[in-house]
Amino acid sequence: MSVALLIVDDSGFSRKAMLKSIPEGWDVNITQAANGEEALTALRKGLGEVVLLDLTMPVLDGFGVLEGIRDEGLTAKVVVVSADIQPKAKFRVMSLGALAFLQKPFNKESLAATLAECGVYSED
Amino acid sequence: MTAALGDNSLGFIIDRVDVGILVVTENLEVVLWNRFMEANSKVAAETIVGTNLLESFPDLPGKWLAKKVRSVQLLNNFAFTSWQQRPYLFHFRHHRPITGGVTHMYQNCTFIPFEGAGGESLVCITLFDVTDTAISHREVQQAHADLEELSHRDPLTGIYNRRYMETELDKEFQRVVRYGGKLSVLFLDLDFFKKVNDTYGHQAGDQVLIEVTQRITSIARATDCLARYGGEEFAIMLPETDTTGGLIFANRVREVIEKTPVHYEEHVIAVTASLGLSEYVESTESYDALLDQSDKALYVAKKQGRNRVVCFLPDM
Amino acid sequence: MKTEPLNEEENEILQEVINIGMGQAGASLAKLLDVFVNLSVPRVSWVNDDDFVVKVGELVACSGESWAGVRQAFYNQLEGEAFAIYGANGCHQLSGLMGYDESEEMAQEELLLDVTNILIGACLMGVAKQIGKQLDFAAPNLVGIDKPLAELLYSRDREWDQCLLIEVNFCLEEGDFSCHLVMLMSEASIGQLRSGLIEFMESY
Repeated sequence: MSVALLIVDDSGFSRKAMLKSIPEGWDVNITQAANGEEALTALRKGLGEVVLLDLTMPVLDGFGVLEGIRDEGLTAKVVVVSADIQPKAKFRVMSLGALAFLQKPFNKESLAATLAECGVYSED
Repeated sequence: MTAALGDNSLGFIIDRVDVGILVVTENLEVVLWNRFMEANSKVAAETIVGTNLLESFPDLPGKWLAKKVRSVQLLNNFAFTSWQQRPYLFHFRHHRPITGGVTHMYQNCTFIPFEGAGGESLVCITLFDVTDTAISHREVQQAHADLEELSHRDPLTGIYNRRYMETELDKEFQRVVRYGGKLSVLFLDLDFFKKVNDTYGHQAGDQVLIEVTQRITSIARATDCLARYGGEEFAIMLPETDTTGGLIFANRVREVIEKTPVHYEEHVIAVTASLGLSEYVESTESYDALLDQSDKALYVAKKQGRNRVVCFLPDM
Repeated sequence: MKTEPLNEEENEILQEVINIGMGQAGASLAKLLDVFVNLSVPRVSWVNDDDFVVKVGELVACSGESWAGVRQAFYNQLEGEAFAIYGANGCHQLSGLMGYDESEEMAQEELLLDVTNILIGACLMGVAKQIGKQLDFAAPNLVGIDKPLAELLYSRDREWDQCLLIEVNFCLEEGDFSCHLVMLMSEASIGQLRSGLIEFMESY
C-alpha cells in the first residue's frame, strides 16, 4: 500500500533534491508543502504518514509543525532534514517527537539509511 | 601549494620573514619561535621551545590568550586582533626610537589553527609590526581635530567665528525651549572704528580688535560664547542669564573698553563700544529672532549716542 | 559588459547553499554562547550602488537609530565585503554572554570583532565549501558603535554598479542580542559563483 509522503521545505530546489533522492521502488504518494502552515493543512488531510521536514521556513517553521502535530494529536513519522545543526536544535526536534535528524546537504545513501533507521523504509 | 622548495628552504623563509611567527599547542607550549620573535624579545628559540609561553612572558594576557587559542581550535577558523582594540600582544620596543613618539610596537595578529604531523592541535600566531600605521593614524586624527578647531575660529582674534556661534546658539536655544531656563544675546559694535583705521592704519585697527577681545574675555564666564561677527562687531551668547544679569555684564564690558585705551606704537587710542542686549522669552520664535532683537537694540544704542548699553523692547 | 543577475533557478540554489552556510555559523555561535540561536530565511537580491543603503535598511528593518557595524572583506575565488550589524542593546550583553567577567580585559569592541569574525567566517566558508571555491578573509574592522545605518555603510566613492546582496540574521532566544549579516558580492565574482552553484546542483 502506498505510503503518504509529505515533503516540507520552502526551497523549491531542496524539494526537488529530496524527490531525486527518495529510494527507488519505494511505493509513495507524494505531497509537497512550502511552509509549516501548508504542511499542517496537508497533515490534517492525512497526506503525511511520513514527513521530511525542513526547519527554517517562513510563515511557520519546522518547530512549529512539530508542535502543531503534538497539539492536534496528529500521527506522523517525522524526519527532520535541516541545515540548522546546532546541538540544541537536534535535541529540540527529538523532544518534540521527530524520529531522526538528517543534516543538509544529504545524499541518496544518507537519506535511505536514515529512513531505514526509523523503520519507515526497508530495501526489501 | 607545490613543494618546489625543500623543507630547509621553507624553514629558512619562515625563520627570516619579516613577521613574527610562533606556534603553540592548546596548552600554550611553544613549538616554533622565529627570528623576528627572538630579535624583538631577546628570548632565543632554544630557550623557549618546549616550554610554556607564559613562563617566559608572565605579563601576557594569559587567560585571554588561552581562550583565544581554544576558540580557534574549537571553531576551526582564523581569528584576528587589531592594534586599534589591542595595541600589542607582546610588549616589544618599536623601531622608531628617534622619531616615533610612541612607547612600544603596535601589532596586528592572526591565529591559525592547524594539525601537526602527529595529529595534535596547534595554533600558529603571526605578529605584524604596524607601528607606522598606528603613528600615521594618530597624526591624521590630530590633524582632523586641529582642522575642525580652526574652522570654528576667527584667525585674527582667536575667538569663535560667526558660524560656530550660530551653531552653539541654535543648540542652546533648543535646549531652553525644551527644558526652560534663561538665555541672552549681546551684540557689541566698536564706535567710529572706521576712523581708527583711517587715522592710525589697519594694523592699529587689528590691535584694537585683539585687545578689545581680551578685555571682553577677561570678564566673560567659561560658559559664555564670544564670537567675532563682522569687521568690528562681536556677539556674545550668555546662557543662564536674564536681562538683569545681562545688563550687569554688558555695562562692565562697556566700562572696561572705555576706561582702557589701546596702546599701539606711540599712539594711545581711545575706544568705546555700543551694545544691544536681548533676552529669550517664550514668545521668541527662533534663535534668529533673538539675534535680530539684539541687533535692533544695538542700532538704538548707536542712535542714542553710542558708548552705551540698550536693552531690546518690543516696540523697537 | 553588464553582468546578468542570477536567474530564478540559480537564486533558489544559492538560497539553499546560504542556508547550509548559515546553519554552520549558527552552530558556531551556539557553541560559543551555549544558547539557542534562531536562524532566519536567507534573503538574496541584486542591488545598484544608488539604492543599496536603502535596501539594507529595509532588510535590517531599522529607522536610523543606533547600531554597531563591523566590516570584513573576503577574497580569492569569491570577493566582496560582509557587514555584521548589531542592535545597540544586544552589544552590551555580549561580554556576559561570552562568559567574560569584568576582571578580564576584553573590551566590547574586541568582542564584536571576534563574534563577527566567527559568524562571517563560518557562514561564507560554509558557502564556499558547498560550491567548491577557495575563500580567504581579511581582518575584520569596526566601522562604528552607536551610529545610524547610513553612516556605517558610507563609502566615499563607489567603484561598482551592481552587486549581489545576501542577508541572514541570527537572534538569540534569550536576551536582546541579534545580528544581521549582510554580504555583498562583487560583479566580478558572479561568474565563479554561478559555476559553483551548478556544480553543487549536479552533485546533490
